[in-house]
Amino acid sequence: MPTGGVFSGSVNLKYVKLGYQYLVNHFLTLLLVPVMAATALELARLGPGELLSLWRSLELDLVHILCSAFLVVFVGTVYVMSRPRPVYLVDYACYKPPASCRVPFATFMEHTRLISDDDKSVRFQTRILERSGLGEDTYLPPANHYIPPNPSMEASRAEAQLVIFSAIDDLVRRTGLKPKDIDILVVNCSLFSPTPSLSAMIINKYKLRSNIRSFNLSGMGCSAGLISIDLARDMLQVHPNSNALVVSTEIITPNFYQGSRRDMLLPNCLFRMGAAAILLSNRRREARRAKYRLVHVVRTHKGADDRAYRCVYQEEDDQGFSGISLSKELMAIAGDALKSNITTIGPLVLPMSEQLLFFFRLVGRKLINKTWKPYIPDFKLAFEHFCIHAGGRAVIDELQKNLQLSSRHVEASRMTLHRFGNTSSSSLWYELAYIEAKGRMRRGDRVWQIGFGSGFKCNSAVWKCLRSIKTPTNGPWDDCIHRYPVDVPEVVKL
Amino acid sequence: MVVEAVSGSPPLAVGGVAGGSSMGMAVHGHRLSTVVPSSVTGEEVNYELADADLLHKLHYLRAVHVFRAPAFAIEALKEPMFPWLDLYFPVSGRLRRRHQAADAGAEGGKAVGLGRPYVRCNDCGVRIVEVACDATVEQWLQAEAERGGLCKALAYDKVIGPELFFSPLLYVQVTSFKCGGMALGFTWAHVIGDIPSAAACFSTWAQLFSGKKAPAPTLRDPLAMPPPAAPPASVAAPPPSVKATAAPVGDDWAVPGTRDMVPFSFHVTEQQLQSLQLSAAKGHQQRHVVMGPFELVSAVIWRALAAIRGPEEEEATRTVTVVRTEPATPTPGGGGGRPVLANEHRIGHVVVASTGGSSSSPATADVSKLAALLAGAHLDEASAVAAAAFAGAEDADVVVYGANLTLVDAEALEVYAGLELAGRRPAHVEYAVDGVGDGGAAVVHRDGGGRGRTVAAVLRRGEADRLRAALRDALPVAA
Repeated sequence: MPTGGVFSGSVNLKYVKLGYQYLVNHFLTLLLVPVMAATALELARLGPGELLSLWRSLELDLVHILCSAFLVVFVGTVYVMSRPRPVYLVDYACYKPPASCRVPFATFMEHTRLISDDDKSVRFQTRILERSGLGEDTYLPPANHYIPPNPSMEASRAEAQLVIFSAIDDLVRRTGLKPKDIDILVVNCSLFSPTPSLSAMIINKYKLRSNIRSFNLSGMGCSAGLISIDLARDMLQVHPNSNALVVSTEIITPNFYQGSRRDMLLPNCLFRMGAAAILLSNRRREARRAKYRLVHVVRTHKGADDRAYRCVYQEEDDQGFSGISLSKELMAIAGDALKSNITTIGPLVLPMSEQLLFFFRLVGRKLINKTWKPYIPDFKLAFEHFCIHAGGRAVIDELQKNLQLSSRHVEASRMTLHRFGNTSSSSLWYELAYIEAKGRMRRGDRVWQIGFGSGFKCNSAVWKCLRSIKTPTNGPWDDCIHRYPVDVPEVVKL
Repeated sequence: MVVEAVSGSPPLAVGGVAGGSSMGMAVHGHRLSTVVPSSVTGEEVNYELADADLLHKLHYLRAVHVFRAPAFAIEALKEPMFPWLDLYFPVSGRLRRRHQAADAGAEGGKAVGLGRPYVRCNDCGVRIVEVACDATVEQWLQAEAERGGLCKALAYDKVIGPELFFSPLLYVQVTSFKCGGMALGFTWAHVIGDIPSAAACFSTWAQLFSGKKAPAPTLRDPLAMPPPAAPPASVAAPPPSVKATAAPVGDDWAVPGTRDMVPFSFHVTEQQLQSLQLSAAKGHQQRHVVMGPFELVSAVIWRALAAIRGPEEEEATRTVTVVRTEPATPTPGGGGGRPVLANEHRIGHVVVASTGGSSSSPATADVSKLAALLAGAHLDEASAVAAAAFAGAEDADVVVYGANLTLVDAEALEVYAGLELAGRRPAHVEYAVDGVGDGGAAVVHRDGGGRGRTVAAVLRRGEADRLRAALRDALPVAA
């Protein structure tokens, strides 16, 4: 029967693929085994007497032996010293806002209606909210609960102190970190940059050391979390035996858009309160209790292209209200940036089988037939878990399609978008916390974090799990993980 | 000073902020925010409104509590509201109408064919209003004792409508006084519950604030639809205690009034009550009728107002609506039962018979005779009154308070103890019904000591001062 033939055909194909992958990925082993077997047989055949005479014929004297030994030791030392220091993620903490910051859909719509006179923009925001993928339980800072919101500097600082200090306190509780032990501090918050900086605020509150190396990154968008990790990693290569505290957040209070331009209203609907504090270390003794080891960080910047540069652009509208406009080409540009990033990260993480397939297909396209589609490597072979920045439903859908991921792989991203909204640079950490809270993180698992941000940038980080994480994790998901995953409808009826 | 109106909702009465026009007692600096339930109520949870609820949809309860310094921080006041609204999630919902059948367009739209209102429990929340007042609490209390009617400025002046979708059912106004004292003013839509339900609701919040556990209220089963009203056997007029509005109100749930209504308040001391009771005991004929403070005080008010309104309105003032409330819990603080959220009070009316010439007018009748009439009033359950008034319709626009002069018995409510915050009771409490018809409405409840009575009323402009003078004459201050 035809269906039976097709079915058996596809099953056969699957086995062929598996066989090919096993063959290529373990090529060296497969090559080495017969060689070793042959050598062992030969040695056995020769017998001890022959081996001894072979040894004497080499005419090695003490000088030769000493030089050889010295060479071996020298090469070994150079190799060990030039390896990059391992960077361990000891632990991280995500901020869980209190119930008093909760914003249900109905309240958001009512506030929008009371603040804005423009019927069209109210209807537009309703439509966005219905299709956004957010849930009824996301959080906005206290200043945004006022009609109209109260975006003063004092309120912004208050929000910053609330979210950052809570996250750091949680991290200190989990790791026993002492303020005096922090050698490097990196803070990223894109849209709120007071003087003194947020990093100075942290140093002041926790009385950190005077010779601390602190950095405050602002204006770098939603992918700044991974940029901070990259910077901390580079600093940890230079400074031995150090701890680095990385704080990723986005302060919502000063950024409420009060106008009615549609391309600027999206952030109001999607951005929510959140923060994460991460402890990185290169100390050997932390390897025992660390959760993850940082394997790769790949940063791709498409800012040289004018379209990409202007696709997320902060400017003032005709009435003088400042807002962040998102261009209609955002998804296409994100796809491009992702392709660039994949091109760089692919060779670093993909197994040889996938790389060969990609290479052959590439050669074929160039030499044989230009109409062949490029091979999309199967990243599911390289990673067990994916954390895609919860920038919005469209971003997650686009990436799921591009990387051919199943719904289980993007579950962490979708559920984080539903529960916490778009918390910008810290969303990757909420997603990681989701995976841990579900009990899916096992020793040896590899995690791929992908962040997108204004510029336009696409940054990736690859982590390897060092120990299985047990539930309950005392994270932001503990009180609600039993309800997840939920089915998020295409359009929520308001 | 006029209360600043947020676009969309008309104020309760034009120029009705009588208290605010006094020097220094004005409130200013309105900051609005919203408090929501702390957990998700659920998807598409609806709370059905009974006929008794819709009967009262044009009225609002104004409950004001004034505390001496030191006050509590606004964040501390808001914090327990989140779990409080988990218990009272219908109060944080919004009104919607059921869609009517297709013939709604035939009559020209708004007036006919509006569907039955219900509450969609979408966690939209209650509105919090933060204002400041330039007087101290002591100055305010003094002015209130002299002039009365100042409590209106301490509660937010808004009605439901014109957009039902975006109209909160409860406003909480927090007024900060110059000395550091504060006032808490609740504006409660009567449609969601009667006066004891409201008092129990506020008391629940106070208990949560003070760190105690509060019992969850008994709510109408969300799956139960109100029973379809039986078609009336004959076309009956609504009972005389209530009146239909002249024109349909649509989605503007305010009593369409022809007159300017102003707030009024008066304090009756224990001695004045005692002398009233003595003089009534001498005069009354029916010894088996028990005349409590409510009947006596109401009779005095009725008599005085009838005199003020004069012979042109003699027919109208013969009829008085009486509303009696039982507390929603047997004892405050949760003794035996749980608080209820419903309109379960009793409504009735009394008429002074017009036999016997001029001596039978309420303006000249004996206080004891009027009190006896009030004590013996025949009262019906609100649901029965509603069934008669609605006569099977999906919705009707009815005036209950103010159809005639309305006297409300709230004596059984623990209005001072109910709102004890961290061991401190308010210095002054006033419960009044706002959004009333031309007849006016007066609520009688206990005062701070428990033995005197506070009268909080809404009357026509011009009547308030004359009533105050008349009451001062009728109730001499003990030497």
